Amino acid sequence: MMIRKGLFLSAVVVVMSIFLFSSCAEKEVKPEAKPEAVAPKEKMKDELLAKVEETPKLQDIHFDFDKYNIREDAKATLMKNAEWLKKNPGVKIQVEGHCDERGANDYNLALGDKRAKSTRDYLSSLGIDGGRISTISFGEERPQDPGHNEAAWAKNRRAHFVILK
Amino acid sequence: MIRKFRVQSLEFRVLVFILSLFTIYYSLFTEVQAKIYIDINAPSFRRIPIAVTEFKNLGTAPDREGHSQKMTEVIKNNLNFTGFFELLNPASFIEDPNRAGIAEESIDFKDWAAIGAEALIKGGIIFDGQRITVEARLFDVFQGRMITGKRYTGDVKDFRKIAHNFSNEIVKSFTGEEGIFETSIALISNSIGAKEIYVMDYDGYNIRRMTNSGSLNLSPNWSPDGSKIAFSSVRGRSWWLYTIDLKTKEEKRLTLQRGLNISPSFSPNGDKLAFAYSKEGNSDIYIMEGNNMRRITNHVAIDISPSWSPDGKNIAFVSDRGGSPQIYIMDSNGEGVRRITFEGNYNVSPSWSPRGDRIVFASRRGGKFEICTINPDGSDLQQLTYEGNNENPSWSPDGRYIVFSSRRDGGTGIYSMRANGENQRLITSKGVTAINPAWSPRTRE
Repeated sequence: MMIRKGLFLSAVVVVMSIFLFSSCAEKEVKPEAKPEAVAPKEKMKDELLAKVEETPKLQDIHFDFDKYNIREDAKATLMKNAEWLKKNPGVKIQVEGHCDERGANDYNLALGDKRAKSTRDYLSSLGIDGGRISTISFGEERPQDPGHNEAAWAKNRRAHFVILK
Repeated sequence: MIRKFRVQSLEFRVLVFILSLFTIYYSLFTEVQAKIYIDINAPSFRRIPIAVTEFKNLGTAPDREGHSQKMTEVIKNNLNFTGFFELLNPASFIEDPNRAGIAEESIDFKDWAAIGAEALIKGGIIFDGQRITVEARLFDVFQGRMITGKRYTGDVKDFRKIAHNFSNEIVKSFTGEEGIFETSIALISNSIGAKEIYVMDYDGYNIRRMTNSGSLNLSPNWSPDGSKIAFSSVRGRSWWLYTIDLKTKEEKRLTLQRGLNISPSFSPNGDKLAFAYSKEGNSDIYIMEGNNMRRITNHVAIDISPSWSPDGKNIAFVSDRGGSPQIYIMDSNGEGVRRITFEGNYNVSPSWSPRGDRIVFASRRGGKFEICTINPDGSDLQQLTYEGNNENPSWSPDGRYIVFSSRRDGGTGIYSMRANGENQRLITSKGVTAINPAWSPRTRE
């Protein structure tokens, strides 16, 4: 009988301790993945530039804010560009559509895409085979002028021409 | 079966009685834990005055790098971030930190009630080489008892993680819902020249680079399980969609056509990916499910930036079909398109709250970009920012906070704020240029 009472008491003590300590749950914290340090500035190994060639013969044209129609002042430039393309029939080009920094990055990609396409369409209307012209948008990601003012923005809203290698 | 458990002796009956008493006590206790002290959905709620004492070194090994203080600071910063608490100035503390312990019986709660504290945080650390054991406790000052307590063991370098985990417990005790302190934020930065994807802790610490493409990457979007990020990237003079596995850093290009593949958005259960694709200068919204690609908008205007409602039934997106970019909503099969923004001529970057009740977006107002929220039916437009130029908003997984990029104070960085615009703070380091933030879901290991 005494043994049974002893057992009974220890059972009570065990149960009590479970209740008293259970609110303090123990957790093992797993180590995190090793953080990678942010490397210092290094030159971009630019695969974007490696595949194209810049040419001064093809001039940029510019656009109004949130617009992709070809402006009157751009038409003369596109005519000169078309002349050069006619004299160099073997050349394939890519039209890059660019935007200023204002607005959403992805909306600007779609807008730059529209700018590149309307530029290509205009060149086609001047008799350049559309098959020679591909397009890409860089949105606001590659400004020509890094400034944050109207003068910089006006320069950055552009269609730029590169020769595909 | 039941008969086997019939009460057979007096002792056993007494034991059962005592057990049931404890069960009652225990359920009362857990009820206290789960009681919601703050109704954060009330139009105005009172901030809880809380005292956070510096964690004590409870062991014999010294705290060489001041981790006790650092840990306390992390918890304080977390509590401050929520906007739910009023952190009491330690200069007002009456208790002698050398004499008081971290256990209930060694705390004189009158000392804390006297300075207006309603809640009290105490903790202790034992250092053992590179390992630490942390005991952290939250007390109710009025009732003079512990609300919740946790014991952690881990590496010293995980001290922030431990502090974040306990902060989540604190918020859970007061609001009934866990905090977001263990979440992450993805972003785009050109720190190394190319625009690469980075991931950092919600508070800006522990930033690490994910991609190494040397190219242009944009629009990170988390899978609902937090294991990968979808993004768009220029490779070979075309925009493609990729996913990157965050553990292995393995990139996978999704099977798509050449052109402009951008702004990916995982459906709430993760089985679909909405995105915008343009081949001939006309971007439309598509949904990819497995290897199937379905076009769900078909309009000559720009359609872009899809964001799913949390129930997966609707998609918010941007279209300039009305002559300027505006926010629209449609059923997730592309039907029932309706415009929800009518103020201003440039509204972009919609993101649907995980709570479903609001949509956040960027709006051009007075020549500057501001973050606004609106009801999905187009009512109750609210402007949240008034400083700098603010873009690309993204919700925290609990829908209580918003991250966004802002050009202010001479730099462009990631800022966070409460869903009502309060408590705006820069979370990336000063001097780091960062855009396109995307808040991770809650993840569990």
